[in-house]
Amino acid sequence: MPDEIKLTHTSALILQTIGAGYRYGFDVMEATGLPSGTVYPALRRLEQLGLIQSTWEKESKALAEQRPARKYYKLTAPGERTLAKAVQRYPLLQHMKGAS
Amino acid sequence: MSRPVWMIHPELLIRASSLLVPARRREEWVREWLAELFYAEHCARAKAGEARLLAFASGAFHDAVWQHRDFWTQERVSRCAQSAQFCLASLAAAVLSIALASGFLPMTRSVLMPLPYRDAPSIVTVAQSRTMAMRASVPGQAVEAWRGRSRSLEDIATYRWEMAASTPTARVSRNFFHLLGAKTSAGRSFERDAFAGCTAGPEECVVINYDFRRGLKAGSRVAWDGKSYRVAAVLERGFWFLSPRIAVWRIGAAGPAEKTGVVARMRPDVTAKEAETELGIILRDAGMNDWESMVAITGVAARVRSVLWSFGFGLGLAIVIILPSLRLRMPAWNPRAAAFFAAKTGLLLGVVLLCGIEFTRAASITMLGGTDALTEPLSTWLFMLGSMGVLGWSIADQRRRCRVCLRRLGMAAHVGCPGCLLLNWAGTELVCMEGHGMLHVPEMAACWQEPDRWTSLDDSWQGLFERS
Repeated sequence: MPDEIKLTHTSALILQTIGAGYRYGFDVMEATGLPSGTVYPALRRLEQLGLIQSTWEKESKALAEQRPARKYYKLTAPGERTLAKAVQRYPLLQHMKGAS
Repeated sequence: MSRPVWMIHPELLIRASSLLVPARRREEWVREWLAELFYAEHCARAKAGEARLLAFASGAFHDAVWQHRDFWTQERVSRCAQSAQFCLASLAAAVLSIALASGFLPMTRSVLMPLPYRDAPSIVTVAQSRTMAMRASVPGQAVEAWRGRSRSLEDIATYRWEMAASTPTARVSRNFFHLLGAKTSAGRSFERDAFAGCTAGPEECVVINYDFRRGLKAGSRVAWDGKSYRVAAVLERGFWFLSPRIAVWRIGAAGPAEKTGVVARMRPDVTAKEAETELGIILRDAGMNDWESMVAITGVAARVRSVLWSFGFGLGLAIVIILPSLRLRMPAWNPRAAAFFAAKTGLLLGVVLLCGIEFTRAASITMLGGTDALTEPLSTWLFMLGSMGVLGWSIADQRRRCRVCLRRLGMAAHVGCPGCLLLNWAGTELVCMEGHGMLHVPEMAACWQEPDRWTSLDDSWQGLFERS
């Protein structure tokens, strides 16, 4: 993976949102206000770059709550470093609030 | 878990989009999107409902396209482009494109379909035959002589192309449509003197094709190139004579000295040879010399289909010219390679033939006959050159393909010294990307050695060719 990954503002926003604790696609959409056609391809790209990592929720837990299992995303260590650089580049990202 | 009714369309959209996702990723991709749709539905139920869900699901299409783009890496694209299937699919797409661009091959259909005349085999064109089998137009006075005295012709009419006008037009005699047995769009036959009231000037008549300016009816007026004409009749759909491009037929006989094309209906019991002899005698009796009295009669059906003979001749000549080099240049045969070569060459020749007929006006030019002595052989020679080109390319392409999987060979490497051919081998080596073998192409082919040498690679080489 290259040391220096330059993200677009949208990708950086999505990365910051995941870092703030929004963990699945629809959650990220709601937090950022971006359309689904932007968020999901961006998640694929960030995962491909190794900045985020996805894991499926346990089926048993989802079934107990009578809902489908979610695919959760979380920042990786390179993702955290890249996010720190992106925040310096896009200072407005600092205003993003964490998930409740 | 059962889904509510308003989830049906968004779910269908997601499933349809999933067809764009590479198969190995599809299941997980659909699972994630349907799970996300569940949460979107929970949220939307309280807000805008199905429209919002549809907007959400439309993102699946973007995501699927993105996945697809990601799937088609440069390596995968080049591997795909090397395959035999890609070659055949590209050529089939070219044939399909020609069919679409030409409006579903109207010229080709005209040539192959039955002619729209009553008793078509008895319809012939009559011309003065000159050197090099050229068909020449006939003076109007000769037509009048034949009309008065011929016993072998049932009827005789004249036609003359007027290609200089903005609309391709023909000037035909009054009995032209009656002779051919044409019908109007209302299904009525033309009488022999159907256009007796048509005179030059404001009452000049035209007969128009069914597809020319739809909506025009008999009796209405039509204008082009600054002149106005009365529409005497609209022809039935699909009528054409020699050139499908003629859309308007002006009614008017040729003058005595004017050169014109001649169409006739022969009596059933008369042969073309007998008719030619009789028409020649009539011309000599009318005072024309032997040279001017040479007459050629050609069936209209044979003349229309002569375009196929022309192309067939061109193809035959191309094969004859390229045949001597075939033995030296073709790789070793196997049934699969032979089938691929036949399909590829057939499609390539199909492309050239259809382009020739549909776009170069070759059919039209050939069928017009008697008006231009240069273009007919030119179209045949052009087709021959095209055929030679595609045959040559097809053989060269076959040479550069793997003998096992028929993929294009790649990774060309120059080996040896071109100046040291006496003692060493020099040439180019090409490799099958699947690791089936290697082709050695010598720099200079010598008569004592095979031009190309194929070396099969066994399984021990496979490690070098594993995909990343």
